[in-house]
Amino acid sequence: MEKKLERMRATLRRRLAFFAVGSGCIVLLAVLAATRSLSPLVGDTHYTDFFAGFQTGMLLGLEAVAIFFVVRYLLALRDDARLTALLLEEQDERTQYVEQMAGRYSWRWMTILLLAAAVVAGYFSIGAFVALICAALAEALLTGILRFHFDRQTGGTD
Amino acid sequence: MKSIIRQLRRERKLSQEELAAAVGTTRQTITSIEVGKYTASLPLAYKIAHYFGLTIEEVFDFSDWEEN
Repeated sequence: MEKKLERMRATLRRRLAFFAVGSGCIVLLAVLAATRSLSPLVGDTHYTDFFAGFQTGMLLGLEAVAIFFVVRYLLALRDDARLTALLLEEQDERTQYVEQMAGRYSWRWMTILLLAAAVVAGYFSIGAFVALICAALAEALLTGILRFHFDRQTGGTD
Repeated sequence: MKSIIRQLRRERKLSQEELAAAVGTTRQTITSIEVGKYTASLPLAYKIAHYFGLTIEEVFDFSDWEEN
């Protein structure tokens, strides 16, 4: 168990480094969005205001999530009981099974919904149509890559 | 899949959390296994059986599987 805890500590330190860099980027982008330094290239002032507000809100939300995980990981690194609980939670096989099953079905439905949305959007905006088609293709491509990766990892390819 | 985990736990005055911590899983998973809603993997089933000093066949009821 001690080896697993040591590996978990190393994992949490890597995640904290990632969150530190990510948080910095998020704060910078939020400031740029709030000061309208990153304005959309198209659209009137109403749209620009809405977009700036959306960007700022989304980035602040992401920052809040990042802070939550940073605090959680820092507390876990200082307390072995919390670290053990976090390790068990992350490695729990039933949780992994649930996530696996949810992901298995969600990607199929998301692809169908994105394509349906693209068709509907196509009647109103070519930009929205292209964006949704690209999202569906990106999702399908990513899923294919991940399936290939895990298939090879588990020795499924000759 | 049915099991006698709850009975074994009560005999030893063991909480679900204590058993979960001992076999490296969460209390929710132990609950799910006890009520038969989740089937433990082979490694987890072995850890649970080994913890109680029993074999997998003594802890878990495979009769439904054998009938099917």
